[in-house]
Amino acid sequence: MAVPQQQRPAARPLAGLRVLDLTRRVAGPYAGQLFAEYGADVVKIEPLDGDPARQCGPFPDDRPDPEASGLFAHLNLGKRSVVIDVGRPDGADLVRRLARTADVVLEDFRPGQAAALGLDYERLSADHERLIYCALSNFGQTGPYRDYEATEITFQAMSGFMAGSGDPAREPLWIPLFLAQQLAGAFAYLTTLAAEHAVHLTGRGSYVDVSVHEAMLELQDLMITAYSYSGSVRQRLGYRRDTNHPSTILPCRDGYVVLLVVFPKDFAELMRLAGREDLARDPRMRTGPERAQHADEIDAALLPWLRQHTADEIYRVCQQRRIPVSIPLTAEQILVSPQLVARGFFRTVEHPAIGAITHPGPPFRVGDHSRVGGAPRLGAHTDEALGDVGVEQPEREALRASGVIA
Amino acid sequence: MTDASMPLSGVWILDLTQVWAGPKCTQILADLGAEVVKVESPRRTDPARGTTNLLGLERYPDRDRGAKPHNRSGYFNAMNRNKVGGNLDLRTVEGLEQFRKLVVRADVVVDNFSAGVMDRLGLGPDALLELNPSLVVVSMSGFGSYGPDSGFLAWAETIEAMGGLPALTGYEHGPPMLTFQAASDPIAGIFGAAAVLTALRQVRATGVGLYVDLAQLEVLVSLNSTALLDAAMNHRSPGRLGNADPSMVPHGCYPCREPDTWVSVAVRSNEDWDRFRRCLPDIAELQGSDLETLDGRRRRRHELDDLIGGWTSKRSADEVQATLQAAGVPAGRVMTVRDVVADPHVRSRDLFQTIGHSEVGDYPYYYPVGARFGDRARFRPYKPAPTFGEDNRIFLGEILGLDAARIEAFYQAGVASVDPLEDVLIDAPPLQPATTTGTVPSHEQQ
Repeated sequence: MAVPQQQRPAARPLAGLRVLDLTRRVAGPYAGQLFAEYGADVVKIEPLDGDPARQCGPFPDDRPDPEASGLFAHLNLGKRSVVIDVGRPDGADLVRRLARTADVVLEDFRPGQAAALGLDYERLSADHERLIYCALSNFGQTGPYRDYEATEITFQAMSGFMAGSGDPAREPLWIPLFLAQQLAGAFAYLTTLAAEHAVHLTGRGSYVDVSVHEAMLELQDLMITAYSYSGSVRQRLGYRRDTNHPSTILPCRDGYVVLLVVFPKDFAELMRLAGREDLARDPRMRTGPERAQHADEIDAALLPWLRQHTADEIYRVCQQRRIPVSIPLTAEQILVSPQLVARGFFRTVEHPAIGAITHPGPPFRVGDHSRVGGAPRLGAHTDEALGDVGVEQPEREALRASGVIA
Repeated sequence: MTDASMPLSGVWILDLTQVWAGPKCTQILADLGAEVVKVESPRRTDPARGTTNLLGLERYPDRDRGAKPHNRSGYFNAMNRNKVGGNLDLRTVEGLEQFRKLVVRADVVVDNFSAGVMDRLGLGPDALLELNPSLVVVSMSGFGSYGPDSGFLAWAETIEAMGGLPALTGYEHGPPMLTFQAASDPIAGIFGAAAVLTALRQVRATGVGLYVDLAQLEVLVSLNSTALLDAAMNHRSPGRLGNADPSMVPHGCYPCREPDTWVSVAVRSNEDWDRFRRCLPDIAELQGSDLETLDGRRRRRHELDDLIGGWTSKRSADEVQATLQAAGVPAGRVMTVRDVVADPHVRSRDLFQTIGHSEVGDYPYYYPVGARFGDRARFRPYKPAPTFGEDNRIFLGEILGLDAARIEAFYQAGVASVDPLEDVLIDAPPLQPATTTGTVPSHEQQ
């Protein structure tokens, strides 16, 4: 099938936008990466010992090296790295000089700390009305939990997500992704872009307060409404749904398949594929709740057929009949997924320390992504970026000698 | 209709989305001030109004479907506020003609149909961009518009499975697990909103419209980056580890005193460990010097989990959370939506807005945009989700400029309708316990 022409325009949508990224670890750097991905100039300020994400794996051959972190490499594609000790008055002053030429400041300081450093919105926007200042934090800038410590599982627990995940007879389960933190990064990105849209109409920027916890709550909006409407609270379902079957994962010859069979015609078709015409017409199994009552019987009828076929065979034969079956793919299988390969989703980016790395592509493609470079070495752009705002070489040497920059 | 002070005031969006992923996208944009005109089919309404037997009675106020259940579904009402809702059958010549008139005036067209549906309607990206060369077209199909699987059915769990989530999720040595929360739908919606805003900026700079072929699969896979980078670098796929995290020990979900109450605890560093063990001074087994390193704690991981579970099970989840947080250790109780709504922090953040609706009355909805801008007054809801056909007078009369006779002719011919023309319930909704909400398909088969 032809790739539609409009898909790859040469332009970059955020060309000309300047972002000063003061964030570390995952949520903020991911927001900054989205800006870099779509064409903004993102200057990342790192402390003298670097963003702590540089200490996080995966590493090639599991050899820890702050210049070879896969996590850091991915979340900082296409940025410039400038090392400034923002805790020193001279360092904070450099950040203020950089902010004067930025359209966007992203920060993830502890609530209150930006003001203590003289890097808060009031200070930075005083002579820069168009500035958009986006503060990311665990639980927002206000409220009883604003100083709470958190890591990914904390957000998944406190948002309603884990309460609905796992076997009801066992402990609730998390999903080991940076889900809450990346969603917060996405909200920081899109909310800032909305504010940037308004700058063109009003000439005025905005302050934006993005909470990782609240970004994760976005996934619960329907469940919250169901609770408001009827008082119902979702429980963990475990391996099956009690209102429909098969909505489940079953083993096959070489792994597992995910079956989501809701409509009666799909159930009948599936049972015919499994050679069970009798169950395809069984009057006890017309609706989802009826089939849920007979889940064991249905699984027993499906398993002999499933065990004769690979996951890919079952996926394709069912999907060709419009039955929504899928495969719980592993990471290695995803890397060679025919669909993603055909779409050119993965990309190889040259990294200054570890050479070519295969990265997942952007969440959606707009404009030219081929110009997104590798993540920077620590401080690779300190001289360049400070030079751009008039911090000349003698001043930089003095700052470097006193340990304010590196 | 919108307040001119909102960030996206004046952005005009034609919304062909349905169920959750697409409506979530346009909901975010509508809450930010965009003018969203949602166009439903008079025959096949948005399935979130109540199509499949997966959706139980919990979505209706007091579990009462009422005379017009399609106007009372919480799943529709939660996701379509601040939108004008009209209907038009795009499979009729007249309906399509009217829709094409709207395309000429729109800034954005968004759909989340299966790949190929817009083309079959004559509304593929080339046709839309020919009508309006500065248009942003965002299609949010499951697998994307091209590629060998592009025509396949993609429900939320399909996307999650092919994106690698169940392979990572599950108990140690157990099978892969679905969470049955359809999380990929709202996730795709959030990124859909980001895609619209990204593309709008390019159009503002260049004046040239563009098509974004958003594949919900690619959104999910892009979030699975750590495992994929590890697979690419080291040729392996992570196994399922329950709630463990290889880089943090202890890291888990522990039982508390009341039935089915739990607390998550994560020890991120040796410093965290020191703070943590001081909170449990009576447990001698936790005070050993061999536990001061990550490797030492890894070796005794299961034993530590048992010891911690023994301590938490004598306490309320609130108490564990407060005690450990006071010491600077990340601990958070596992909250249900009931806990979330009652939580003092959530309440202090003013994250809900009560919206009146003519057929369900006043209910609170999750509405965080005001908290995000620190300006609740500026982001007040201005419109509940439309009942079916409620806005046809505005949509057909004011927006499309049709006179009363023409509207009546449309109604007679079934090009538009006051009520859904086909029964939206495929199966009778089951009487089910008040404990589950269903997932809903990402895409209705068309």
